[in-house]
Amino acid sequence: MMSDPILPSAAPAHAGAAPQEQAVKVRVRDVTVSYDGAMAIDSVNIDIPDKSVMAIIGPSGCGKSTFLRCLNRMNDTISGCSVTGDIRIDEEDVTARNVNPVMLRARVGMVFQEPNPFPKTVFENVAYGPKIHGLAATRAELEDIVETSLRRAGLWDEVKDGLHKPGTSLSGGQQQRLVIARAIAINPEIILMDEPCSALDPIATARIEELIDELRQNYCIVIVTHSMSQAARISQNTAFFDRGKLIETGTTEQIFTNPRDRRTHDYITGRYG
Amino acid sequence: MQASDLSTPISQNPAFLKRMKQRSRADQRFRYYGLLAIFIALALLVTLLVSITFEARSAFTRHEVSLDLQLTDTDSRSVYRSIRGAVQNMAGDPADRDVRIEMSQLVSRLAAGGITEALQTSGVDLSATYPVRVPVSDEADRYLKGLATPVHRFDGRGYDQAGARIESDFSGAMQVIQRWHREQVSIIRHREFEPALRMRDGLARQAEAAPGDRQLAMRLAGAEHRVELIEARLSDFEARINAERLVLDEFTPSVLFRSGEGWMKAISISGGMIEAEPVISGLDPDRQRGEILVIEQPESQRSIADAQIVVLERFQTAGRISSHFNGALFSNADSSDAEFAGVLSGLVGSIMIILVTMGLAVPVGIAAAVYLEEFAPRNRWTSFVQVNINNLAAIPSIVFGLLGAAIFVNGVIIPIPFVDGVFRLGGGLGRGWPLVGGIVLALMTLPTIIIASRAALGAVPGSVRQAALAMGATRLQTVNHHVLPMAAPGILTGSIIGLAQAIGETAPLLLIGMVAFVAEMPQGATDRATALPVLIFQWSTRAERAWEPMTSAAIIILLLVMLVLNGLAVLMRLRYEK
Repeated sequence: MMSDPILPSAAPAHAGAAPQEQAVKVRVRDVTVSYDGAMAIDSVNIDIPDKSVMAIIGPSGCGKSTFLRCLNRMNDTISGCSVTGDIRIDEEDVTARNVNPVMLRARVGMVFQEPNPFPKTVFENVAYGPKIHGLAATRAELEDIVETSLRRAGLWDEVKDGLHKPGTSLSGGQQQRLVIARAIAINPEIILMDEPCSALDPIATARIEELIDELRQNYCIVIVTHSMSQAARISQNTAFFDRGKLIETGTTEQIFTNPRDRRTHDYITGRYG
Repeated sequence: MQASDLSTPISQNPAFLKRMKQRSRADQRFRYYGLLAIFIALALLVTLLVSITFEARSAFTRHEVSLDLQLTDTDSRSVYRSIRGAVQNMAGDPADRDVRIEMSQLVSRLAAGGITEALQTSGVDLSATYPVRVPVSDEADRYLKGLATPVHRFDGRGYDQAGARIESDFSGAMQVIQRWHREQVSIIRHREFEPALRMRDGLARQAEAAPGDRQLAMRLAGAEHRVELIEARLSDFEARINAERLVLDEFTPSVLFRSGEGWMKAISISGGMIEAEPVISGLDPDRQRGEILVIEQPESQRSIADAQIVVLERFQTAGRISSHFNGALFSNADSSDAEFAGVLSGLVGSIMIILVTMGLAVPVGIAAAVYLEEFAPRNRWTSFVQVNINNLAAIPSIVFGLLGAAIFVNGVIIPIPFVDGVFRLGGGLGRGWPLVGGIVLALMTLPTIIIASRAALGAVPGSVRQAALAMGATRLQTVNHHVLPMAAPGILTGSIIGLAQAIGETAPLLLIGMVAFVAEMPQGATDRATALPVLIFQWSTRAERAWEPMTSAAIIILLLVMLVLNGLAVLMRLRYEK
């Protein structure tokens, strides 16, 4: 099944947490991205397994976020950005011209570095996705979706009495969980997270990490992080990027205990650069 | 110790301490400059508002005279004749035709119109007198408001009369007249004599340098003659300052004497007596009531005659003059007579224009801004468009007027070569239509709205767009649900600024034909009309003094319209920001 030579068969990071052989959710082949002709990532090949967390690590400017944005075609919204190569989700090509990026983004949710709730109420924030995609036929259904999503994001108990307060009035950690609730309200298949904890304090970070670990049961999660310890804590697989190239990928355990590439070794031991 | 010595801690470095002092002083100075700038701006604004209000205050009231009409018929000619008759009666029915005309000029020319209408609807008994209230003419109104001339009143009780001589205490009147002469002397000296002297001396020096120049010699002779003439007048006035007795004529202040029903006008004055000629007979035989009026402005320099003043004073004494709120200013269309002119036609015209402008410029402007900011690719073509929108904002408004006149009113006529014919592009809309005005002002406002809206859209953080797009919203949904609502306050402010600018615009409206005198109310957007700023422009060019306060009053009304518009914008903004 794993035909790619770079990727060894995925192994569980924590004993018993994931099955030995995971189904591949996203298959990336020869993806190259350039901004106005300047190469940002170069011929990346990677397989991302389903129902697990893949961490993407690497020094600043190595193309981690760019790679993440390829997966839901947010790069399309950046002028001068060109993407070539082949990305398949469940063996379905999503880079093709005839694939509607709006459709793709409904399947691939995204959480950004800075919490970015809409300047609307907590309820409106979570209800926005179901509304625009027509997922709720009645008000009761919508309320149900909102409650379920907030519960799954672990935010319900904190906001249930203030559903009509502005989402921007919450604390940073709560905002980030609100944004996660908003993303899962339309039941996507993949959730991309671009350094979701870098603007949060350690306590809020711990809450988010806990949440990610729970969400792993149902979603394929790809997370970009600068924190080595976070990658080690929450991910089952890790990919190391450097200067636009995918250097090494493998199970988190293998990358952190026995990296094959010198650069990976230097980076995770803090001797990089 | 060297200032550059890095071993010194910064807090003990003399160069640092010196620089620190300089920097705080510069900070302080900058704050004072800012305060000063704000103070100057406020002072100018307050001065402007106070002076306009002060100038306009007299336009908001209007004097009316109550008359008992002896009607012969109900048509407007007969009514007007009766009105004139009633006024002339108050003047003692003068025989002189010129005086009779002067008297009839005391009431508004158009006074009969409204009365005739009322008479024809209600019906009237022609044998009885018919009481009416008639607006006085604008010159009479100016006099009654004290704007035409200063009037000084002195007690004249217990006088003696011997034919044309009236003996009383005229010292107060004499003082006023002497002071007036002193003022004239100073005015003539500074405004005429000294400039004439300087001119003569300058020419004399030039002539000395060029002895052969005949033209120069002639100009010098002229200047010398002028100096002599002014000198003669000056010495004449100076002599009069301290004269015992003064002859009064239309070039000096007038002195009027009243007693009972009778009025006399002085032809000469001294401290204890005047020689006078009767204006209206009937001096009080008891000599108990007497009043001296000094009309400071000479008769030749004011547009209300002494005889007219006498009649107004008589009406005043009889309690027939009353002051009312000038409702005509708000309820009437333009008129050639200041006492009947109002701003309503201009207001209606301006509202129609602004509605057309709003209907065109706001949706088109916002749509253009949204397209350029949210949808258009960034390439050479869009930056070309953007540069030109900015250029368009800098085009003087009068050019838009010219464009509007050429395209919408006249049409562009292009001859077709080889065929005997022309092709007409555009045109067909009428001169002075609010529709055309609105279109032209919309063109003018468009760049302002586009630029303001683009700035407002650009200020919406990209994270909001990303959040919506990443949720699977389409671009249109992203714009409609998130970007536009967040940019709305800024867009609104920009639009209001553009519209406020448009409502005060005069030049383009003049060029599309809103110059004509329009006395009717416009019936629609395709009817000849006028606009508030055009009305202000026209009123300010009219000759009679009465138009000055009217112009200021119209300016205040225009400012109020703007205030309401801006207030509305602030309210909407506050609602949006919630």
